[in-house]
Order: sequence, then C-alpha cells, then structure tokens
Amino acid sequence: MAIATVGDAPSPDGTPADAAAPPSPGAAAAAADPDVALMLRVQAGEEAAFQELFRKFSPRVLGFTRRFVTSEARAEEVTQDVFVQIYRFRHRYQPESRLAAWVYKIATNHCLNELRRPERRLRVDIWGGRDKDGEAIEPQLADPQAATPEEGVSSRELARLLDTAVAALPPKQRAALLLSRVDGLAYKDVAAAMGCTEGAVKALIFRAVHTLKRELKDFVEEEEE
Amino acid sequence: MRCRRAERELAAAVDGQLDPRGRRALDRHLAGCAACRRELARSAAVLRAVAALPTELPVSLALEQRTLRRIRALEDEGVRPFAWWPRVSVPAMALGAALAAVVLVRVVTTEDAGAPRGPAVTPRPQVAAETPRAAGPAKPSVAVAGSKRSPRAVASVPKDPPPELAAAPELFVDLPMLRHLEKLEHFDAILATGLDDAPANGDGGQDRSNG
Repeated sequence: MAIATVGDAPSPDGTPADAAAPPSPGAAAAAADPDVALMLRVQAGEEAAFQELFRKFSPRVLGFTRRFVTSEARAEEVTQDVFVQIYRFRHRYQPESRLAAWVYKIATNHCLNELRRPERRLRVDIWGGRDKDGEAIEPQLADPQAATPEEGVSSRELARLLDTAVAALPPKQRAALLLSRVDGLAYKDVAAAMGCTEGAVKALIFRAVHTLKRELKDFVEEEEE
Repeated sequence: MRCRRAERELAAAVDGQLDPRGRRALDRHLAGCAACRRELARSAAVLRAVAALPTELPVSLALEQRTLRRIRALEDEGVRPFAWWPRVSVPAMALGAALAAVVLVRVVTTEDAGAPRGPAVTPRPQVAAETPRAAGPAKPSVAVAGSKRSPRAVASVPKDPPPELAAAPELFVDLPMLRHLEKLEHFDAILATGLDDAPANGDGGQDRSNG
C-alpha cells in the first residue's frame, strides 16, 4: 500500500495534518453535494460518518473490484483495503471534486495493482461462485429490457457472454469502460481516476467497445434487425 | 470527417462525452454515411448492455466490521504505521545527520592518525601464504601499493615506491595490475626483462616480438 502522502505530512508547526481543521472552502461544495458533506464529516474524524460512507459506497466498490480479482473473498479484501486507504488519506480529498471519482481512483489503483501481481494474473471468472444454497450463481443484467431487443433475446445468455467478454478485456480498457458506463463517471472523472488524459480514456473505451461488438456480434446483429 | 475517425468517436457520442463541435462534425458525417450509422447503433447496443450489468454486490456485515476494526487499529496507532517517522521534524533530522557526519569524520581521522606510517608495511601476507607463486622474494614488496584498499591501508602506503617499481616504472603503469601481480603467469620473466630487451612474455609482448 502506498504510504507517503501530503495529507500525512506534518504541518509546518509540527502538528500532524490529521489534526488540522476541516477545509473551509468545502462548505459551499458540501451544501451542494451530500457526498461532500459526508466526507467532510469523515475528515473531521466522525466514525459514524465513515460507517455511512462505507455503507453507501462499498457495494459499488465491491462490484467493481470483483471484476478484477479471481474470487469474492479477494474482492472483499481489496474492498477493505480501499476503505482503509480512504480513511488514511481522507485529508487528501478536495471537496471541489466528486467524491465518487476520488473513491474510484483509489479502487482503480488497487485493482490495477492487484492485476500486476504475478500470482493474480488469472482469469476473472465472476460467475464461478455459488450462492449459500450451493446453487451456481447466474449472471443477470440489472435491467434486461435495457439490453435486449424486443424480439426476445435471452438476457441471461447475453449477460453471461457480456461478463465473459468484459472480463477478458485488458485491465485498463475494462476499468475505463466500467467506470464510465457501469458507474456513470464522466470521461474527465474516469481520466482522473485512472491517472490519464480524457483522450486516453476515449481511446480505451473505443477499443473496449470494438472488442465487445466483435464478441457479441450475434446479439448486436439481432438487435439491429 | 472520415469513417475511420468517426468510428473512434461513436462510443464517446453514445456516452454524451463529445464536445459540441465534435458532436456536430460527427452528426454531419453520420447524415451522409449509412455504414457509420449502423456502427453507431451497434455501439449503442453494446454500451446499453454494459450499462445494464449489475454495479453492486451485497456487502456483508462481517466485512463492514472487519474494515471498522482496521480503522480503529489505525487510530490506535496514530494512523501511521511508522508513527515515529513523520513526527521527527526535518530540522531535527538534518541536525542528526550533521552530527553523525562529524562523528564519522572524527573517527576516520583518528584512525588514520593512529595507523603506522612509513615504508614498513606487511605486504599481503595472506596472499603469499595461499599462492605458491607469490612466495618469491620480489613479489611481496611490489604488491604493497595496490593490494590493500581500506582507508587505513591507503594511508599507510609508503611515500617512495618500492625499488622494483622505481627501477622499471613502465612495467607498473597499470594500477590494477599491481593488485593482481600474483596472477600474472610470467611475472618472474617480466621482472628479469631489462628495459632494453624485447618483451619475452605476456600476451601483448609476445605479439609485439612476433610482429
């Protein structure tokens, strides 16, 4: 885990930065965005606020990390690391930026780092798991009608194909695509989360879509007809 | 705009991420290009499907509790795993480093002052014991200059060169050679060679004498 941060550095008077007063410029942003207000409370050291933040973002972070690691248990570990890092670096968050973008930046770094570890370079099989009754977990689109044409394509089959195809994408393409589409970040925020330019994000998504069009050719053609 | 360029813009157009100027240029192209309109429809279908993927997974209470425990542990440690490190101010670290440097310099100079000076140096006794060829009378005194590398040994190098070096300095211009004299296969022959003689041995000498 990366350590050295501006937020952790002592202030000139020798007191830790953690003890500094909450940033006042965030007041306006906090008034406009409840996420910012929540994060300001976390910065002030309020544990209940952190718990609230965890409950709000952890399902999305877990869903995101699950697409980069090989097991649900590992995804939980990575999610835990993400939130520990959020807490440790909470004073680095600037209220001017979207909290979700900042959270995903940390999550993306963790996921890409995870994939750099040689022992983690295994295929992500997101639907290899079983539920608590021992039944195989089947993929399902959140809103089948949004993806399937009225002609009646099997949304479950499409979801399985799509999951497999997304899991096979190169990590950066996968991250850019998921952040922009699944998590609804603007390209600018995706670029910030991934540490690259908007142009690079556009190129990554273009390549990802190009690959997916090829992999899902049958479904896409059917929808066109 | 050409089709190749337009195709690169399609996903961004579906995502609503093109600037107005780029969007107008793409629209103009699409108005006259049926192939790109089809590609746009295909891109939109794929992106709709991706957007419909589940974004969330249920988080167990156990995971929440584990995370909170780690947070509390961080709090107990003062947040930083190396809590002592950032609390040392930069001036204090600089002062400490300066003091350490002064002490180190004093130790080195004191050791040098106490080291034996002058030509009486024991030349590589351990090498002489290990290597039979090094037991010859000429080698130990010759090997002195380059055989020891520690600061103390450097400080004790005699001011005057050994007689062999003074007599034939051109044989010893290469300092690394001095350190490895015992490894020279024909060292005795080199020593026996006079300044006016043609080189009798050694690779370079052999080549030159043959040439």
